[in-house]
Amino acid sequence: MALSHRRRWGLTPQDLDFANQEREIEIVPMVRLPLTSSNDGPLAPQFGPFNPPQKAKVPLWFALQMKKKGKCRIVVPGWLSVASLEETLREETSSDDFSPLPRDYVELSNTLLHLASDDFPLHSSSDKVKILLKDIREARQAKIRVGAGALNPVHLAMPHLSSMEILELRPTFSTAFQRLRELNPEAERHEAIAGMWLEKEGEARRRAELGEFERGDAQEGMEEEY
Amino acid sequence: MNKSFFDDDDEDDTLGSPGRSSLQADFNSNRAASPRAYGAGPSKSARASSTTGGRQSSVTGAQANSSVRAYESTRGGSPTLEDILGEGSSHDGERNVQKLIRAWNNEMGAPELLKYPKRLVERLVKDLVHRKALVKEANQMVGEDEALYLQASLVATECMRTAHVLKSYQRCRIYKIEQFADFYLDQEDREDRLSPDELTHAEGYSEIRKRYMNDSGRDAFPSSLLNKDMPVLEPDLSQAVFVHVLRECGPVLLPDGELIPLAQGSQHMLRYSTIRSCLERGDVELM
Repeated sequence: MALSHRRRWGLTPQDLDFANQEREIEIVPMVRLPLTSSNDGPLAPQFGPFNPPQKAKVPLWFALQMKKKGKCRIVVPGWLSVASLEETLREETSSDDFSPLPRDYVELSNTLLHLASDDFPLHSSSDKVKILLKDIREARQAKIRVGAGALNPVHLAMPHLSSMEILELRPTFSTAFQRLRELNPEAERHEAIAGMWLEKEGEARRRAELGEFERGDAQEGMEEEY
Repeated sequence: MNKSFFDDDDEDDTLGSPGRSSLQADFNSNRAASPRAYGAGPSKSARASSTTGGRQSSVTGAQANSSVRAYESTRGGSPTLEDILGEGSSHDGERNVQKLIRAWNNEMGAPELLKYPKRLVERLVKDLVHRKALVKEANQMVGEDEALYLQASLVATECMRTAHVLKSYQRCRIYKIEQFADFYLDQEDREDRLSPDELTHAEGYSEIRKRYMNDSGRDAFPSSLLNKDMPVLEPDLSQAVFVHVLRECGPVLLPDGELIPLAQGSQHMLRYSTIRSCLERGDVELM
């Protein structure tokens, strides 16, 4: 088949890692390099020029390629320092909300710890960072398990969840969503409203603003955020 | 010539040898006015040309300035202004690969086939062929110039990434086409949604499938059943999708009759039908 069965549920973690390597990161180049154009030609954003020891911003894959050849040092982002991670962990364990880490924090920290562990500053060594990240991850996973209780067949907001965490809960949540949708006593009404929204967006919005779709008490508790 | 890691074996188109100077100019593209560069610092263009000048005597001032011409000439044919500016004129700091990655992620997330970004894919494929030839060219001169070697390997990495995304994207689309081939062929917007090649594939697939169904038993059905049309499978638009809002967009109507605004940067799980129009406008991306 055209698509491997592992991808039927969407992207794999490797795919996500690959896609997120387009994110920008700061490096300190060790070699002089003139401007390098990207695949889109000279009018598109370009990489460089590098004049050590001046910092430069490049995509992550670019930085990793240079790093493997020993031509640069990657500047570890501030939120990945011990002090900042301790603060995040405190926030994570004391509040019910998710702390605002970057969306790709799992992949990025994993990549940097594997391929650039010598670039971590002395005062926040990679070992300490690893332990802290593990604690943060466990705290967040516990919250996700609690949050599964808020599942409903309509809408669930997931603020500050990282893309890897969403990937993780995706198969479970979308199957549950599907089942809840089928079991929902109001399924028909929901289908009708969704159908109207698809066909005649303007009219559906007008009618919603007039409150024609309101049914009152039955909807309470539908919109729980977690 | 010994093969190195970025030597591609599936690529054997022979472009006219652009010669060393144009090659260097193309990788470097150290033109006087470079609209956007990753790299920081003022007066970068001046520095760029001076470093090149100091390091590489073969790139003389005149040749360096002619990098645009070199770019054009190596592409073959005579590109129009539109061709050169193309998508480049509407650059919002995003490279085409990033746009394609987004299209790929959306395609993986959405239950139905999305519109085919024809221009984007065509442009990427064209650029890819061109860049691969350049890398090959540079590979012939390995050992002469370390900076050129490093640049060539970086460009090769980008090429491999682009090729990988293109491949994954197309595979995903083929899978979806085969899932609901008859449904997409019945749609009015099929020319828009499918590329010409995909359309041919969908037609062929649907044909083979029908023949198989007939041969493997349908022809033994009573004629009253045979006269009815075969049921057409449709994608389930109510499937759950995970969205990340890129731009704040107007309130969307949830199936229970509530209007909610989608704030920039927020993430939601909801039915695909709810955000279908936002996705078409590019206000949200799927995860």
